[in-house]
Amino acid sequence: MSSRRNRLEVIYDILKAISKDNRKIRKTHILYKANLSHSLLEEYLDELIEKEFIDKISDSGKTTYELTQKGFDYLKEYKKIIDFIDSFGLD
Amino acid sequence: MTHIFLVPKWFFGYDVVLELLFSLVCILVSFYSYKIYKLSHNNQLKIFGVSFFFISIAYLAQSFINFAVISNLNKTISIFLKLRNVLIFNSIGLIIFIFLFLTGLILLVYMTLKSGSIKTFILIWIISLSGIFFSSRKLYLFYLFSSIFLFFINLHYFKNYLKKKKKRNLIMVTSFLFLFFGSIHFIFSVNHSLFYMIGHVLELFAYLLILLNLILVLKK
Repeated sequence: MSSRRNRLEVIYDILKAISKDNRKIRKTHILYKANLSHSLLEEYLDELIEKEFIDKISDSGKTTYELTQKGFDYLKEYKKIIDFIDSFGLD
Repeated sequence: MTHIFLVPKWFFGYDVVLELLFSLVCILVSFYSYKIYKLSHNNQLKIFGVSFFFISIAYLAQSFINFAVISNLNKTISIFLKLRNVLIFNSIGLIIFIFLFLTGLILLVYMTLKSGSIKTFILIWIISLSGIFFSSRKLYLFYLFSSIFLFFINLHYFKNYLKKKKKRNLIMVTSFLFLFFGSIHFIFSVNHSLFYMIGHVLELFAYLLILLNLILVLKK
C-alpha cells in the first residue's frame, strides 16, 4: 500500500472519529481513535481545517472539532474515491 | 508542416466519429476525476483529470479538422480565415492537436513519475514541443514521442498490476498497451493509409476499456 493511500485512510479515520462522537470531539479523543502521534495529528488537523473538511470550535477555553458538509461528503464517497484511485492506478 | 494523413477512402467519416467518441470518453474520465478530486483534494487526481481534459480537447480538435477536410466546411473556414489553402488549415489543426495531445500525455507521464516537482513537467514539455516544432518531420517525431511517453505510462500501469493483481489494473495496462501500439501504427500512417485505420481501431479498443473501467467504478 502506498503512502498516498495511507494518507487518505488516515483522513478517513480522523473524519470517522469526529463524526461518531456526537459530531464534536476533542483533540485527545481523535488522537486515541485515529492512532496518530501528536505532531502528525496537528499536521492533519491543520490541513483538514484549511481544506474545510472540519471546523475548529473554541468555547469556554475548550477546543473541539466538528465535521463540515464537505467532511461528511468525503466519508460518504470514500469508497468511490478509493475505488477510482485504485482502478486508474493513481496511488 | 506539410504532412497530411493518408486515409483510406472508405474510412473517411469513420475517423471523425471515432475521434468524437475518444473525446467523449476522455472528458467523462476528466469530469469524474475532477469530481473525486474536489472531494479528496488528492493532487494525483487533479493531474489525471487535467491530462484527460487536454487529450479530450485534442481529439475534438482533430475530429473537427477531419470533418472540415471531408466537407464543404473547409471551404467556408478557409474563406473566413482568409487562409490560402487546405494545407495551411490542416497544418494549424495538426499543430493544435499536437500541442494539446502531447501536453495531456506529458501530464500523465509526470503523474506516473511522481517527482513532485513541476520543473520535471516543464522540462519534458519544452524539450518535446520545441523538438517537434523545429523538426522538418513533425508528425513522425510527434508519434515517436507519444509512443515513448505511452511506453513509460505502460510501465507504471504494469508495475501497478504486478503489485495489486486486480482485474481493474489489468484493464488499464491493456488499454494503455492498445494506445501504445496505436501510436506506433500512427508513425507509419504518415505514408501508409492502412496504418491510420489500424491506429484508430487500436485506440477504439483502448478507450472502450477505459470506459469499461469508469463504468465499473460508477456502478459501485
